[in-house]
Amino acid sequence: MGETFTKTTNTITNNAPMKEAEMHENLDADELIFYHSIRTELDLLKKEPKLQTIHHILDYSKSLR
Amino acid sequence: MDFQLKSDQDLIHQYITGEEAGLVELIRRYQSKIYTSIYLLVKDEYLAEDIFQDTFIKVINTLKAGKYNEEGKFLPWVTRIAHNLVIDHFRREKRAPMVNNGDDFDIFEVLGNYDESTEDRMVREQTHKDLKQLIQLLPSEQKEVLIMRHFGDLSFKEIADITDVSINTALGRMRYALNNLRKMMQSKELSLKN
Repeated sequence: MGETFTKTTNTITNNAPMKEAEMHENLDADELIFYHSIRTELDLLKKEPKLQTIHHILDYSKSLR
Repeated sequence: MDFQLKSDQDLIHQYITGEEAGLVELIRRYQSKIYTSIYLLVKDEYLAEDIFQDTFIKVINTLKAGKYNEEGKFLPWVTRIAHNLVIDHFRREKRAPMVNNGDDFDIFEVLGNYDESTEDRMVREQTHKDLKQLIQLLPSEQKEVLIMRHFGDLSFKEIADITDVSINTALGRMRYALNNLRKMMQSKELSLKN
């Protein structure tokens, strides 16, 4: 089943710079270097739920009207 | 106004006042973070779908009942609900998340990267499998922090609140997770520079 939800950067809730700074403040240099070396690979492990699951959730919500 | 430009709080308000589109946007905004966090903890696609669905049903029930009071911090709140449902699942199953070695994840479903050579593709595929397996080998509390921090995009303060530990403990677990991952990768001579 195709994925119809568009992936876009969220300009309102994106607090990545703050969290990036938090990482810099709290991790040692070698830990940070290692983290940055694996983060691209970690990102590739990201997954999306099935569209059917989203539809079930939205149907449930509508049923409560 | 474009839904994608609205704050979480605005979307919640819209949803509570009867606009389903508010919920649609909140799900679209966070589905990947929440689903990936659940999936990497339970290591089962079908179970992750169920827990993801149950998580949002709880979210809907709470919002509709007018009981939401998280001062605009929607993602940590939803992550806490998902985290509790994962814990409930493992309590019911009476087993730890680390022992589930089932592997139905195909990175090429996500990547769609078919231009590289067969050899490169096999190396890449093996690397991702190795990394995923190494994450699963981490002690559960370290894996949990790594997943919430990287995939859930939560701050250490938010992770500390959800897991009921101090910020220093959450940070220490992240450090141990990174150091353990590095040691395991070194021992397996696994390189990610591909």
